[in-house]
Amino acid sequence: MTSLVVVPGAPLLLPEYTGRQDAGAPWRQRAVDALRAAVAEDGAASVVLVAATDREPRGTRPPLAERVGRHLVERAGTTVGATVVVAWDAPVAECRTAGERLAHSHPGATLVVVADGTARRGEKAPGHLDPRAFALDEEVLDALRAADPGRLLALDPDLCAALLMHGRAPLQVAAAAWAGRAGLRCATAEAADPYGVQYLVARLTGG
Amino acid sequence: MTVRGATLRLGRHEYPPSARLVMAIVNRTPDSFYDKGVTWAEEAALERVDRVVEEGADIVDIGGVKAAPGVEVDVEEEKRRVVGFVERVRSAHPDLVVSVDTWRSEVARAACAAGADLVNDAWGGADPLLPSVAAEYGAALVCTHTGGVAPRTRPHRLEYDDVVADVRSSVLEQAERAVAAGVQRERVIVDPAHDFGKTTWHSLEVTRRLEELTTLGWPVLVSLSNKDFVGEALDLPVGERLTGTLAATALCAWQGAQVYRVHEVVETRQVLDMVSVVAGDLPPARTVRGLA
Repeated sequence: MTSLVVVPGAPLLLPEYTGRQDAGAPWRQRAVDALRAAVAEDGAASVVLVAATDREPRGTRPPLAERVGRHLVERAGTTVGATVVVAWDAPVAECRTAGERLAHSHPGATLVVVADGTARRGEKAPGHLDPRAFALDEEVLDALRAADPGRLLALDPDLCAALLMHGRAPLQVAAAAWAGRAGLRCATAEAADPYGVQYLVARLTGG
Repeated sequence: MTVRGATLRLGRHEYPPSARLVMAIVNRTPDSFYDKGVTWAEEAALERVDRVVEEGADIVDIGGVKAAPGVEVDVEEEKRRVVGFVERVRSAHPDLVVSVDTWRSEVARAACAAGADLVNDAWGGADPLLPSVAAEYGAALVCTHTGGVAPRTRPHRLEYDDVVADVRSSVLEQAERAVAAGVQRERVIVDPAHDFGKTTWHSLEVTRRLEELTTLGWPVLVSLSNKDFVGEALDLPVGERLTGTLAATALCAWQGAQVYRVHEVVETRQVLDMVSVVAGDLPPARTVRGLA
């Protein structure tokens, strides 16, 4: 049995960006719980992290999503064995190639995918309100609940970019890595948008 | 970089040099300049204590004699006003730091016996026995600069070559005397005492150069609240000096003062927390902007 875990990539999950009140506490906890369950079920010593580059890079540090993913993995008591960083706006074909390469290089690895939904789910959302955000986020959540790599690979990069979805490319890398596997199912999948950004925590298992 | 402030111990609490503490004024007087007797009644004063604790005060400073000249209050009357009250506050708020604002050792002794943690000697060592009383009870002591004026007098035609130098030598001498008398070093606070023995020019200069005092190795207390130097700086009467008080508060906070004796707790707490957050001494309360 191997698992695929989707966790949020919000920088407010990092200790260095946490104020006296820990605004990301519930989501950090949910992500850590899902990671612990996956690692326990897989008997994994380490995980493979899949994350996107920053949408608006300004500095020289590793991408925020990668750092958030690594932090969550370490909070869950395990380590990152390998990291795949994909351009946030990579074409689907590029994601497919990266995913197929990952399936080949790390067969049976526990995958941790740092992926958020849209960031336009309200007037105070980072990207203001775009009503199309809700349908796209629903499609992503349904695809995870159905454990259907094909539906994730069918997400439209332009629409996802327009809605500031910062998780389409890493989800497609993971979907390509898992495409064609038998016995895929969703153990848990939950979503919420406390700050106008769709956060996802999901755990999928495959034979 | 110059080291500012010092570790401060009050009651059972220990505060780092970066702490900025609010000391709320609680007057057991019928005639103080700002509140004009609003907490003269014991129950009203106790309600004020409850409220300022709720609002975030770390210390209450209980005084029975107004600072300005006025009706004579003898030792027995001052004790009547403060000692029993200190005892009530102590029992209602076991963790609160309780200060008594007095220059008289007899009053300080009775207040410390009733549970006061801190003696705020606002008149700069007018009673030489005060430090030994604080020492005897393990209490803290505030050493203030008054330019040598007698208690309850106003400055008149005072001039210093260098007011900050005068403050520095006076408070250093008092602080060392307090330690020699047995007050724990970490329980000694110094206060330049704005307006006391000072013209507005002097208080402004002390504010401007406060860092020269916060780098002496003693925690600095400032008492700015609604004072005449704020009023004269802005030409505003008592009752309209809060904004000016808060501006001076922020400047003193930036320069490292550790204790703020105030009437308005909520506003002061916000200013001090804001300065602490900007200075990097305190994380912001909650950070989501751009990070969700």
